[in-house]
Amino acid sequence: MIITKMLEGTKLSEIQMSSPMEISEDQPFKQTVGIAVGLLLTLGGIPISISSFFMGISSSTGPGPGLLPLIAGLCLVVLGAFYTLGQFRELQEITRANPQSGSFIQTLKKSTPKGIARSGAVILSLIVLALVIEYLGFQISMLLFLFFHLKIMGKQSWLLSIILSVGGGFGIFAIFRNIFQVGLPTSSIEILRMIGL
Amino acid sequence: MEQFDYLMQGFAVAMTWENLLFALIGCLIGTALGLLPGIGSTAGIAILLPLTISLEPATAIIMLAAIFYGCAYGGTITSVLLNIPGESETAVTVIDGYPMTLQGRGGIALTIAGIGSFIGGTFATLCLVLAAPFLAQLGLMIGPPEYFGLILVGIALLASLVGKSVVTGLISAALGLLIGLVGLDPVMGTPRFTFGSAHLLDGIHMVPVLVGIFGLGELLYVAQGGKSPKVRAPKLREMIPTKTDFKRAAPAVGSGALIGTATGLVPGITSTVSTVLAYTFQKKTSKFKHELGSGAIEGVASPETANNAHVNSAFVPLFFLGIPSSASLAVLAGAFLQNGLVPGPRLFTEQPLLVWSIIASLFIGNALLLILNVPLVGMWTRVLAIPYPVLVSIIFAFIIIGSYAVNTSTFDLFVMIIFGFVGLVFRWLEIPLAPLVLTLILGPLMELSLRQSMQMSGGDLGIFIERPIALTFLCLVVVVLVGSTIGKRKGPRKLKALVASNVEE
Repeated sequence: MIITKMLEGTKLSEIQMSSPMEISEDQPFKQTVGIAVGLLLTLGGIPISISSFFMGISSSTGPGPGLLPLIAGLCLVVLGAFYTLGQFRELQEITRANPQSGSFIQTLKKSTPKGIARSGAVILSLIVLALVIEYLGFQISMLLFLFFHLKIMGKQSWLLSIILSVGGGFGIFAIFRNIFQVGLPTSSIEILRMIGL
Repeated sequence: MEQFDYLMQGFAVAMTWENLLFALIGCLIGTALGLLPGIGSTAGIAILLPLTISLEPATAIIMLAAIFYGCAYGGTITSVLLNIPGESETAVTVIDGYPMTLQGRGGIALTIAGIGSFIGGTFATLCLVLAAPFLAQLGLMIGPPEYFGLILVGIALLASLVGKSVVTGLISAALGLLIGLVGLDPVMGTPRFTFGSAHLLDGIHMVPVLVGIFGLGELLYVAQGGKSPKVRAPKLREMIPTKTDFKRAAPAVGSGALIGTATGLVPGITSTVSTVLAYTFQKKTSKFKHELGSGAIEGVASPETANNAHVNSAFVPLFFLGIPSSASLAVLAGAFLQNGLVPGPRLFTEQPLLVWSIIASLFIGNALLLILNVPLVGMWTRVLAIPYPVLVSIIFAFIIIGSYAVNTSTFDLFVMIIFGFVGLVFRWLEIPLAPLVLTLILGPLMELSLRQSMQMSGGDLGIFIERPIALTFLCLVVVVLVGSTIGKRKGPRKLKALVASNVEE
């Protein structure tokens, strides 16, 4: 990040930095998210600070269990407010400098859906995996997960996707369970467990 | 020269076949991860951290440290051959490295970068060895109040220097502290932020948090990446530099080693900054400064040497002060804690053999990287041809196993997913992650030393003022925070102008 800024306007055009989301069009969107995050931190810091009083701020031997949570909570309230203010100012400056930058919704449509959709799909696939891994067992869950990422997300060939998914699901299980002695989950469904899954 | 006896003992441990093998594996994984734009040493260490649980502490740390410095080598290959810096610290290498490739001298650039990195890394490690006895004395002077102050200095330095503003750095630190506080209070057993969940009583394990923030977070951030670049590997005979190349590179390597070693000692200054400083120094002083920017060997030799010198000298604050200089080293500090070792002043006196074997492994690792990577450039370029989705899928498998294996619980998978999302948002909003990791890892130790200090003084805060070292640390915290708040307002403009003028000259 520092290098990007420091070399800006010199040789930067020749450097392909790999930051897919760092495109100018997403700036207003970025600041809007920044404001939301700042407010979330400030508002989140309030209950944290209050709850720390119930833990006990001091004890007979000095600080109580609630002292550091109180400090951290108050820091979040204050810093979140500063951050929100900073992002709000940046948003105003961007809007003033470029009135054509479009509304929040336009910006969202124009510059970010692909990135958000891909990131969202990755997160969703991981959540599904975490939900099913103890029912279906590691091998089948990982096989399906890898197939989704190779074939559907990665658009690889059928053959490669199948080989790698099966190898990934069963091979990794065998290696980690037998060589590294890592306890990976097996299926809680009786019929699947009977066939070694 | 007691330290050389210790160093020899360290070599004896580091050169057992098991430690050599894991150092080699670490170097190979580090180089491979360095090749992939966006996935760096921090993610690499975080992803592989859980898999080292069953290893001996020295072996685990030797391997993870090898990933750390191996990454820089991988980044150089893509910078020189493809015009794509795998890591931000190799971005400066692109300026002269890629033009050298266009001139058919890419192989020479890689060889000089490899030799420079070896010299820089070895020089910095030698400095570490020489400084060890003096710095180890620190351990004897550090009590709970001083340790508390020291951790605050580390937080202040990382929060101030790493991010784009002090506010974002402190937000990150506060969040890390809160995550570290979840669970039962270590002194009185009061539950904190457990919300009635039995999973949270033991606290949030740092491994899924680190894997989520750095491993998954980086993968989500580069989610759009995808095309495998086409690259031609230089042939072996194209990699042999001429006498003139060596002659021209030598002073650049020397200055790079000095700059990298010096900057690595300061927590919060990243190796990216040391590469820029080394390049700027060449722009000011080199006899061939007019050629810089169009394929001059000095433009590759100086930043590459500085980078590796920085990476190795950054172990000094970690070993002797317990302060990680960067996110990668903060995750490495997590590896120490996972193995029951607290990085910091007491480590040298309590675990001298372990520390010296890691230092010895730095020498071995640098030599391994030189021997392996220069002749194996062809193999590494073939790694680049592997489709990105395939690589990502393999990494996903490691992330999932690593997070699950910590407690054999799906709860940790959800923790990893949540923190992956947090990592993505932080990256996108340019909120630095290093302070979060530092307080996550050192927060509980900070709390413990605060409470121990208070017990020592009977609840009197004056203990921090009465003890000169503790007072010095606290003053330093104020100076760093105030100084960088002012500096952040004025600094970027000046720095940008300085570098711009140097590069445009």
